[in-house]
Amino acid sequence: MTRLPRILTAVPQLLHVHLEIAKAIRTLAVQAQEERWQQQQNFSVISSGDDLSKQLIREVLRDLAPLRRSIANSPTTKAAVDDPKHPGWPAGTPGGKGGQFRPKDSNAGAGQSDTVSDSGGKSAPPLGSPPQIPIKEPETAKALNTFLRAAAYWIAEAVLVDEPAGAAFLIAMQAAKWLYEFRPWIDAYQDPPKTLKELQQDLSALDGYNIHHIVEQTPARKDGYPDSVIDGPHNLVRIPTLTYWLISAWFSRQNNNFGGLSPRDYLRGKSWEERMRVGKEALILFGVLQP
Amino acid sequence: MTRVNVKTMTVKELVEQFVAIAVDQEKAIFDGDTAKFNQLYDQMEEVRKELKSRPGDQCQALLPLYAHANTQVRLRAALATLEDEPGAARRVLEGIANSRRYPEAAADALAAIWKLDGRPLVRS
Repeated sequence: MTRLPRILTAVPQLLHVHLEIAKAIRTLAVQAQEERWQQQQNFSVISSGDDLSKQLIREVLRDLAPLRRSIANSPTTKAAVDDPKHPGWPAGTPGGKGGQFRPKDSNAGAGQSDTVSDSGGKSAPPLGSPPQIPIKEPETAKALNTFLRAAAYWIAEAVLVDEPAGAAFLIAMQAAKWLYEFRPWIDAYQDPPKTLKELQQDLSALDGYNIHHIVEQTPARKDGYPDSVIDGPHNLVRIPTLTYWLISAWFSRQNNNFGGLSPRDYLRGKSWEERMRVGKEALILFGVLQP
Repeated sequence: MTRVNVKTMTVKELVEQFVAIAVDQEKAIFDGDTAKFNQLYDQMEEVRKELKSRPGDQCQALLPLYAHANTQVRLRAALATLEDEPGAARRVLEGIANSRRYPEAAADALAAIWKLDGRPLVRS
């Protein structure tokens, strides 16, 4: 059985760094393991146990820990009905339990969109199943984007609630060769929030990232702002491509917090400062800019 | 989704309509169909205002949706009842905001929480 080199503890404790190392290890091991890796595209096969997989999973889990701690210290971590990490009783629970923490293995009658819960106490695991990894690259851009987003979001959630399943899914993705080209998109999405300075300091092209205008460029041009300001360094940040898509869509969706208007419509005719405020708010809401 | 006359609907039917719209909203978000989402947004507002206008403010009928299995349903129910049930609605929003699986819903929930606290994320 192939033994993996114990080099991973000497590298930065960042998920995306570790993911790249895991990929490199896979490449080294591939000569002897090629046939077996091809067979391990099925999540359940990997979960059932293989020394190489287990070794990689252990190493990945080690690097997930700091990210989990940083998320656990976020300002909104309180007991909540559907928070698997800090589960709480729902409002109106007998005995005045509403809002208080409940045992993690109890069923509060709530779950994610893909969980099942009913009055009979049946409840699926909070994380749910990972998205199925296509054997071949999807033929349409829409199907490809759907998978990439689903995978990225699922991994982000797995970091919170179910490390072994998340790590095993990462390993399963390593086996899908068509995904190599797109892995930077998924990996970049796992970046922790950064400072504005960090987001602006390197605007060179990088796989998995897009250059994003904090103040949307097209509406700003329509309102007469000069290109020198719109494309100026203070208005540009490099962010994960998947988040870039999320924010772009967010700007066009109607929103309670903007009086039922979309942020884009709300900002029509507004000052540069207000546009910048909302633009930075979007970066915070989608987890790329530190509050 | 077929447009309906909310004036003729019972409270139970309005709640069912609210759920159906929210489920379709989630699909529209994931499909990247903004036009559809905005259409559904207006429809949901129509349902919410109708519930609000019924004797005794029947938005309370949305409270059981706090425990619904669908994230978008929980989010929209919490947002629709935030003024009347700030404590319970807030807890629902916090649960959603802490999730990473549905970033669009998490962002809306987080924004609502911060607005509730009266603190803008970024100062002008």
